[in-house]
Amino acid sequence: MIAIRRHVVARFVGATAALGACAAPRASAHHQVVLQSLVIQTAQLAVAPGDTVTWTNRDIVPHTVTATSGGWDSGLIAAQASWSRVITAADTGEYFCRYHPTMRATLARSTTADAPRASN
Amino acid sequence: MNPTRALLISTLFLTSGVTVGAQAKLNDLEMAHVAVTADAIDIAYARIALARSRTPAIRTFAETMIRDHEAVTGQVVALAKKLNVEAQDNDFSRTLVTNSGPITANLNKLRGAEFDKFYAQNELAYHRAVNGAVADQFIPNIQNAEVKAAFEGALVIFRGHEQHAEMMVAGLKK
Repeated sequence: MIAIRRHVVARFVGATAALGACAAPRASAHHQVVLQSLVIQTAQLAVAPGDTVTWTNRDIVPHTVTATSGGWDSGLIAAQASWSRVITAADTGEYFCRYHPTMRATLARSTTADAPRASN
Repeated sequence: MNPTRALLISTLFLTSGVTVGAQAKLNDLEMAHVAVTADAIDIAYARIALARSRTPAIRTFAETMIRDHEAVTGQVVALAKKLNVEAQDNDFSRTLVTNSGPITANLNKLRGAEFDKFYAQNELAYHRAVNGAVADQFIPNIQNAEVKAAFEGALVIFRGHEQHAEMMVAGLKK
């Protein structure tokens, strides 16, 4: 009887562990990107849907962050101000500052989408 | 700040075929005045562009010039207030204003593609000339650390404008 009980408990623990490994929700990451000296300081950032990206303007002039595809646009980000966006599946690709088109960077699709990742 | 410390500047501003010769002894306060004057001139050019051009690339650039040069001027004014000093008018600033006259007249005369070409090429020449003077003549000779930092920050922005102007000129040739 005791042996049977140990066997059942062992199977339950094993199944739970396996379930946990497969179904643990991926934690969304919060990334910080600085706009400074007319440069988007993170040239390429890996993101997954559900992540949040916050862009902070450290210059004395306003900037925008705008998808080259036209899919999203921050509008004016004033000096020392920030703007955040929760990333959707359609948001990856190149983006730029509409006021200073030499400022360009890329949101890349994360290749580790199932694992929690630290913020940049 | 040491306003009595003078430096010798011999600079040629070449803008759209207009040569601005200036040889003056400038101190920090006079250099600040030159910066504000150069900002005002470029803002004035941009306002003409917004009134006369319908080309998106020209209008975007002009709007950026107004936003950015107003911001730089605001920084200079705020720093002067903090240091309890006032920018000093000088021959260099007056020469810049005098030489902007024919360019302004031309901008007000031209239309359409001719206007766009002249405005874009003048902006490229203007930023190249000003950036060269700020980098080679002004910054190495500024005495006050905060003033120097402000000029270094402004130069980064103005070099971005120069690159943007290069894109604008190239785009008009397509």
